Amino acid sequence: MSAGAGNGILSAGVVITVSFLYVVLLFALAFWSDQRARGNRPGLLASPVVYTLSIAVYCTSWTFYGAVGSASRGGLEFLPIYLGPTLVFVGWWAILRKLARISKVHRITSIADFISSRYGKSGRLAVVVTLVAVIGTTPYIALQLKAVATTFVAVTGAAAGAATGSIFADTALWVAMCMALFAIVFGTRKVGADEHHPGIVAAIAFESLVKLIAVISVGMLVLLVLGPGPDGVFSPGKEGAADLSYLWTFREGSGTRWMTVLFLSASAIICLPRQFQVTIVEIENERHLATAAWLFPLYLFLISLFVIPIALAGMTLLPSGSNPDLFVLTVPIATGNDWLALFAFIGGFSSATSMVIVASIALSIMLSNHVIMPVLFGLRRARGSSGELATQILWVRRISILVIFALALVYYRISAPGALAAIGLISFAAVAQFLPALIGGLYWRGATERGALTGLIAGFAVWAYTLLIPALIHPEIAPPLLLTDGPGGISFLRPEALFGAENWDPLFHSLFWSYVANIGLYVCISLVTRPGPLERLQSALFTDAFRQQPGDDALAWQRSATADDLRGLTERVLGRDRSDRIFADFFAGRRAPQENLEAAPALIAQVERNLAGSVGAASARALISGVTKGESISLDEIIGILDETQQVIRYSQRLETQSRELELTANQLKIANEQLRRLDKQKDDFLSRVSHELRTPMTSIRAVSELLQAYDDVPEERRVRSIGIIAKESQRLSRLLDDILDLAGMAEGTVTFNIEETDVITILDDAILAVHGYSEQNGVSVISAYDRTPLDARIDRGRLTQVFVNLLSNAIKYNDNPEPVIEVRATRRRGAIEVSVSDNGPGISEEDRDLIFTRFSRSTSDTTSKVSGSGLGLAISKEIIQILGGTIDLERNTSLGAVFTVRIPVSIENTDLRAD
Amino acid sequence: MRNQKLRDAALILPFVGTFLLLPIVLRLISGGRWFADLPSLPAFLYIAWLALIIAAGVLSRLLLKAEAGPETENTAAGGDGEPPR
Repeated sequence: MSAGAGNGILSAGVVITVSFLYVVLLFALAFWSDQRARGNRPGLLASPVVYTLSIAVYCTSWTFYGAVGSASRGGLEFLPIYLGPTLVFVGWWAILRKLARISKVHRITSIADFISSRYGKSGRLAVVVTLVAVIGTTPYIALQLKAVATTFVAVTGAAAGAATGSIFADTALWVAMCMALFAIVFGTRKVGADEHHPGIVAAIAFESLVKLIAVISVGMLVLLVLGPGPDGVFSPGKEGAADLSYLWTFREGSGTRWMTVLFLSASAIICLPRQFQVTIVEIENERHLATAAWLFPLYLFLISLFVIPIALAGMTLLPSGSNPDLFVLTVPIATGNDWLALFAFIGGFSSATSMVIVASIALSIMLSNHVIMPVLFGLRRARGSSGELATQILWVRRISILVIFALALVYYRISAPGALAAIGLISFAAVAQFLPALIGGLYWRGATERGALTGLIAGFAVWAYTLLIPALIHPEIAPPLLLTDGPGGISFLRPEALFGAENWDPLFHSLFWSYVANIGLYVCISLVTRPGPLERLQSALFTDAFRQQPGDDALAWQRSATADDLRGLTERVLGRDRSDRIFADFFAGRRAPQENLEAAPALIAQVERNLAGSVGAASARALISGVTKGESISLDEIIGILDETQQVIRYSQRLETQSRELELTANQLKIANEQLRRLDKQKDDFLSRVSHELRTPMTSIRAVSELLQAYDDVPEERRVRSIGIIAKESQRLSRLLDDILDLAGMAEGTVTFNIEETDVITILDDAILAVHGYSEQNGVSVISAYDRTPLDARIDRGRLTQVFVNLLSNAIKYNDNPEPVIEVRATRRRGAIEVSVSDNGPGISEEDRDLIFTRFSRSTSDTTSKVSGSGLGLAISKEIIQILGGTIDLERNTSLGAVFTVRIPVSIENTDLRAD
Repeated sequence: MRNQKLRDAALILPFVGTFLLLPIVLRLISGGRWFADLPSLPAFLYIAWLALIIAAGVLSRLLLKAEAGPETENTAAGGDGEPPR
């Protein structure tokens, strides 16, 4: 059909001029955005809205125009293509977020890089993904070029020149060249730390806006102008109108196709190289995903809202047989809205060009990183001094872009006219082969590289056989007999009815069998192969992405390189400036190394990561391997990393118990410390007291003897008394020294005991007699409350007497009761003789309780000098009793007085005679 | 605990959406007329679609607030700091 041929607004010249100006606008926008980004003043560019709009590159001319066409032919069938991505983005929390996180940490440059990186930085896996991507995407690019050419014809009514005439009159060529130029200029400016292209992102975000507004404008035209009213498009029961109810009902038998397209579009929104590029690789801030989660589905919602109305309008207003794919253009034209038609054309132009730009860049990155550069490295062609390698990479990318466009143009020129339309979904089905390896790699730690590789190759092969070849059926390329009879006549293997699956929806048929092969082999091979050490490390890092800190993987590698070599490599690839910055950043805060010194593993890992951001993980690894030595992964480290989460949990539990134990210990230490301090004080007190005690008699003796020496005429009485003093004090000294030696001797076991069978009762009598004088002196009554039954035991008589005397003396000494009474009891009980000395004195204070039997202890409240003694009495008593095999205790301690109890076993045959 | 519920809801939402779009459900809805004169299937689809969008928007906002609250968030450079549970 033709419309507005050559008249007024829609002449070819006008259209071309407007398009050209639009392209210039895009260039300017991209340039300005790049400048702002480089000057670190991103402003609007950093907004999540721009990010989301860039994701909308998903809506290509195939959806801009083709949706209406699809709706006209099949009703709501067009909708799943928008609904699939909606479901994926609405569920961003699970998958998209993990993809974004991993890509940020590992500086992923493309989907091929991601898959290769996950499976041990496998170079061959990257190659396969790249080739599948190129084969699957190039026809799609051709489709866009065709759309531009076709719509140009439709808008201008220009005759021929398209597709059949000279190539130079073909608009597609010029569009391709412009877009290639755009992609090269803004997509290959520098080899950066990552594959971020702010200029490109800004440009396609703008284009997404333009195409949305264009669609809405045409939709508004239909809804507000053409629709309402009795002549309008929506009035039911229009004369001669066909039954259009299929436009809004669910047709029987379309369920399979619906689900298939839903699934394919959901997988495509991640797996299409251009989508992975804008959604995952270009993401600046993970939080933007939260906005895109609802904003992108909203975009899809809006752009699909007017599809059915426009389809209706087209079917009613335009002569039957018109191409429904062009309704978006032809409806405005038919109703005389030429400017709107031009705007719609620009919208379609936007949708086509944004797709080819991003797709070509994404593919060129993959081709250069994973196919061409590795070959160049292998051929040792990739040499050069500072920055030369970077330039080389850039030129490889540019040539890749040109090659891709060339391939697309070739495909466009040679393909049969109707074939291209089907390419969209066929392309989706191709990239869907990435999905098992991708998603499996995120969650299944046991997935191996070989499993992914075989699955991918098998799935791709089945896809090619069931979808690509039938689409290419062209008398010269593939014989149609293949379709009807199967290869070599084997009907069982017909491309469109494999294994007897007759009359299935072709898309579903292909998806089904390709996934049987893909997932089947992926799972089976992964189960029977063992991953290598690098694979295991990468799989742990990827599946545990939310628990990892960047740099964890550095710990696992044991490799060494000189800082010099490393710097040289980085300079070659990234240029001197970037290299300097990387090293400076790393050493900020650490001690700077000397030249030629070993580079820390963390530095090596950091450099590798930076390189990966430019040339992909596999190539980066290869480059680093070239300068490092002794590259190995310690298995322990891997297991360590793998079990990191377990370790962390166990560690924190251990920390808890430890801190509790520490608290307890601290408490105990405090108590022990207190005790020690008191003992120490006691010791000091004893020493000072002992020296005082020693000095006092010494002083008396000296004084008196000096006196006697100095004066000849001392009176007799005085002289006798003085000598008495000397004698007494000397005795006192001796006694004190004896006590000390005694105790020491008992402690060391050097003191001998005379053990013989003795009646304890007699000893008690002796003891009471011995203190008689003392007790009389203090007015204390000592009561012997025991009967005369003999209590025999094998003991040292003298020593035991000493103990009883000591107990009695203490009882007398400390009893401040106005009527002091001491009771002595003795019985035989349970194979031992029990003797108790009880008094009605003040008792012993709580704090002294524990210490009374220790050496050097004295009542801490005792300050009177009336009390003599060394404080060793009880200590000696305890030693003696222990040597005799018995016990001595403070039985009862109340303010009514203390009770000391001595228990002596009847026989001491088995007792060690030495004190412990 | 509330964070956990939010996360669960975020994970369930796409499944709810998928369910609403199953052919089985759509066949049930198809063929009628809603709100005076609109065909039921498109109406249902677009309403459900919009509901999903709104739900996603609300959940996203809540999730972001929850993340930024108790834990300090580095922007997208690892260090999510999710404690092991």
